[in-house]
Amino acid sequence: MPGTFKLIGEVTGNGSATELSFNSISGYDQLYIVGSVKAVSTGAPSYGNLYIQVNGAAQGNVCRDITLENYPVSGSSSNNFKNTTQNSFGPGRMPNANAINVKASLVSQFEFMFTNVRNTSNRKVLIGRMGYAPVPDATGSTTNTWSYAISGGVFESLVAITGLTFGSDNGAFSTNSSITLYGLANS
Amino acid sequence: MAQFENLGTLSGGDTRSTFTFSSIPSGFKDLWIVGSYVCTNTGLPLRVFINGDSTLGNYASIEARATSGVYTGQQDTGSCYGPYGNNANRYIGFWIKIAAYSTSQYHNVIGSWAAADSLRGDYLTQHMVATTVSSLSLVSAGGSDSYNYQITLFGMGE
Repeated sequence: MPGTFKLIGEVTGNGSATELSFNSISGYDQLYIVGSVKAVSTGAPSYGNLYIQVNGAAQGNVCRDITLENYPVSGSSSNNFKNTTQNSFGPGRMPNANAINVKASLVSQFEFMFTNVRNTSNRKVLIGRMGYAPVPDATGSTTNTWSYAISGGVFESLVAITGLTFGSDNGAFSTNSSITLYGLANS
Repeated sequence: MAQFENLGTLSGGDTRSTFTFSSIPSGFKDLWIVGSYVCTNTGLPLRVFINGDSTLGNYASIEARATSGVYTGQQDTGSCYGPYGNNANRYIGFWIKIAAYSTSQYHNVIGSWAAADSLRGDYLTQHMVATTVSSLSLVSAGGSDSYNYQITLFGMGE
């Protein structure tokens, strides 16, 4: 039975936009998103949320998010999750808090998936992970912490997802920011 | 052979406790299951059994899970973690990846899930039996039920 795994498109930062969007999405059961993002250094906070809007801001979606961050800490491989947080957001946003960050000093990597994209009977679930690693200096030492977050939420509106917007709470996405959207179809 | 193929979709509004993909063909590199369901039970995983093997001693798992602001990490032999429902009637989304499934070796089931009740986790389960994978079952640990499900198995790569 044929399936579809198709590149829908890529959006890139231009150094001034704080939001990057995909529009006119149709024909898919799941959406898979891979990206790497960095903020333009403006003296703004050292990090800010990467947030996601579904179908624009007026959907009244209530989203919940939970994050594990700082794993591993300082190279340790034992149980060093900490600062677990739980947040409820809405309407209009599906942000991923804390460790799911857009930073000015490091590139953050992430992957997300939405389920039930074109199903108007079931709610849509976001599953994702995001993190960043410190860049060693010439001596091999690092001054930044590692961070890795797993996060998820539910878009509770029973409508098809036709648009996604990725936004930075830490100012504009830099020119080396890139987000790629793939569509999966069951048939 | 196609690079990406739907090997089966299970969907419906009926209530059930087991989702099985059987007669999985060889020839792809990896398997990927993506889907969602609504869980009627509480505090129980949807275990991932390979080739119908429900002997928990044949599995070892490590899991990182957070719920209600509390992190839980655990690793066990004799356990088979999977997508997890903490409260009844919540939507749970998940994906599962199995690499090189058509070779006779121990296989790792790598999974992630998120639920509507502020629950989120990753896990890795190893099936400690050298085998090729021909069927996968998602089975409620409590014999309880799930509904409003849409679960698809994809084969990836030639």
